[in-house]
Amino acid sequence: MKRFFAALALAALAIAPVFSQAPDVSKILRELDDMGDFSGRDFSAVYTIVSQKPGEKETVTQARMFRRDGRKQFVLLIVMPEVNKGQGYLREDDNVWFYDSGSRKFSHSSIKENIQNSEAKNSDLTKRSLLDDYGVAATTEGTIGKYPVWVIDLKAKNTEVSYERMKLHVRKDQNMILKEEDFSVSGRLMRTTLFPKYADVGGKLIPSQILIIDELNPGEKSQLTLTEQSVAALPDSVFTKAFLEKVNK
Amino acid sequence: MPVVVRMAFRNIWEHKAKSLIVGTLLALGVIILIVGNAFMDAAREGIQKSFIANYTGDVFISGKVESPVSLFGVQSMGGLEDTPNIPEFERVWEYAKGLPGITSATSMASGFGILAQDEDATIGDTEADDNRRDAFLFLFGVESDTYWRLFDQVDVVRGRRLGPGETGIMLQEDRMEKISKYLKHDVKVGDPILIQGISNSGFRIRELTVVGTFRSRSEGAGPEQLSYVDINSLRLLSGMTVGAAEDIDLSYAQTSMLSTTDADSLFGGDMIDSGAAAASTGRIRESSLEGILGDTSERERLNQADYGAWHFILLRTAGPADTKAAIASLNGYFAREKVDAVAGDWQKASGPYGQSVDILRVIFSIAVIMLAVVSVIIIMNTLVISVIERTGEIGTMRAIGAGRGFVRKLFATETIVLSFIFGVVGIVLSFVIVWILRLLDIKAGSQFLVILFGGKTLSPIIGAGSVIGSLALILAVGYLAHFYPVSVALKIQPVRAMQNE
Repeated sequence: MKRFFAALALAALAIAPVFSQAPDVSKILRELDDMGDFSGRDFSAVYTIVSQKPGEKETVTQARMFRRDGRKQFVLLIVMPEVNKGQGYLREDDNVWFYDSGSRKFSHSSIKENIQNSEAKNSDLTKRSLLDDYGVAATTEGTIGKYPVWVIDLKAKNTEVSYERMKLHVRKDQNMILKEEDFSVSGRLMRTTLFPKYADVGGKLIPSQILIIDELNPGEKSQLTLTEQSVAALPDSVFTKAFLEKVNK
Repeated sequence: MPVVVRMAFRNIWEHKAKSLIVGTLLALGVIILIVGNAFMDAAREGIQKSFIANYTGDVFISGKVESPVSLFGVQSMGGLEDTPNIPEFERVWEYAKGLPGITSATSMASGFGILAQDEDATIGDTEADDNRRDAFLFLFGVESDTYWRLFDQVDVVRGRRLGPGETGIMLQEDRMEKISKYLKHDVKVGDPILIQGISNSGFRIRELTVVGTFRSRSEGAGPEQLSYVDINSLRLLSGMTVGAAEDIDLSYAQTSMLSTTDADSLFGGDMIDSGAAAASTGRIRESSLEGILGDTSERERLNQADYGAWHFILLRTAGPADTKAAIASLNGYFAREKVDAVAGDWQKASGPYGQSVDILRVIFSIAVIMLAVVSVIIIMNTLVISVIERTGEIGTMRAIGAGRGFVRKLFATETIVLSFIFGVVGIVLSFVIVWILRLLDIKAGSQFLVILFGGKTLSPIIGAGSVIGSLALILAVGYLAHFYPVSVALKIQPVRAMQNE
């Protein structure tokens, strides 16, 4: 579950736009920020996360996400594993409710708190701003697979971000993040995230396959797959406790 | 009295100032050793007594994983690892119960939970973040039939104990106020409270009725956030359900990247998956979302408690010899029958609590070693000065026929006599200090102090072993310290020594 939320947080932020080839880094970052913002539109998708740990059985979580950034709302509905089916999270402003379909009860927490036991904070599921949180330390050129990329080295401006340093590998011909490397304060590589597949959803490029590699624990990785992505308008009733109860009837 | 002893006494008396300096140091060393050990012994005995009586019993059986397992879960670096169930529980249970010297037995499971705000809560209904600690619960899932027979020192303050087959929770009496403050409403016996269980398989919410509040009769340290729940509620909260080991079929696309070793190979083709997205515009109707979960009938079955799942078996024995024998028999049985389980004593069961005593002892031992080294150096220095001052005397003794051996024996005797006298003084003073400390009745203000004090008040215990050991150590320090000064003394030629006189 821990990795599930970490992966989900990543997926939420890696939404990238089509962009120019100019190495104007601030502009690239602004575009990445803007395109990750779904204000004014709804977004929904099915997230499947498969996590691997050496010597252990793969763990699978599938959830359906409904987002309405303009009103700071989201609903996350667990679809798999079967035993957790129907559990869900509802966010409204700074409130987050967890719904347990087993007991048909809700519990409340605030957006500032960690999502239960996971490393992700509730606030990770909301948008982040590269431009506000990070300053550009260096920009170099590189290649990933067949794609030439800008390697943008970012340094945190505040202590609220999860990682002190981040290296973004952004495709030159289109503004898409292909790879993100996260570093600790001491400069140690903590996590590598690859974004090899995107989907064009209503003119926005949204990652559809993500591979997260835990660099601290060799062999631990997670694959996140997004399907059924949509920016179609959602009914208001989705972002209510009643919706979580209703789909479980 | 042999002549060397008489001479040693005379020399100690004649060099009063130096003897007093060295002696004070030796006595101080003995006091630190004895009083320190008295603290350590009290801490260990306090925790041991409290844990055996209240939480662990004498013998503890758990499932086996790489990291150590205690009543408080698996201690691993990676964070939360689920406590393993005891494999082939029925067989292990029958074997354990039937061992000689076992007077009672129970099985249980443990888990974590937090007090949850109900659905009507919004921001501001919970206390500030620094009070979140009060929401944490350490849950013992017990079977009332056998548990209270083994742990009869838990006193019910209000309400009643969990009865056989009863669903509910028992909270610590002194936490009720904090819990009420956290939930921002008065929590009384009979009230339902929402608990959110935390485990690797996710989160579960259950409403449990507070059936009673309790207080441990024994004084020692214990888990502050402990609550008792019925075993089936614990199983549901901790994901010990029928569906815990469910298999899920995955498509190739959902796992294809996990086997990739070369990151570049993922970026060889077209990156934009045009067919992946669903209808991206328009409006989704509410009615189309109603059936998104599909069939949920299987879920009910998978969410039933796994009635055969237990984390631990706890046994009470007739005496320490039975405990040792039972642990040995059980571990032999597990090895023979290839059962992934392990048996241990209260210290294994108490996990971090039992270890805290060992850690304190290691820190104390390091301090004692440092003190011993410093003492040897200081005593040696003082003796060297004393020897140099007595060069003439040594020269004269050697000139009139005293051999090297005699001089060496004289100094050795002198330091040992000095160590012995002041060692005894130290012992007497240690008893006085401990007596005064017990009279003062110092209360432990924090959980750390409760562990250090071995109970709610400071009551150090001086053991015979610690007295004999400290005296032996101080005699050894004294003996060790005489070698160098004597070698200095023996290097001086008798003629030159007498000239100095």
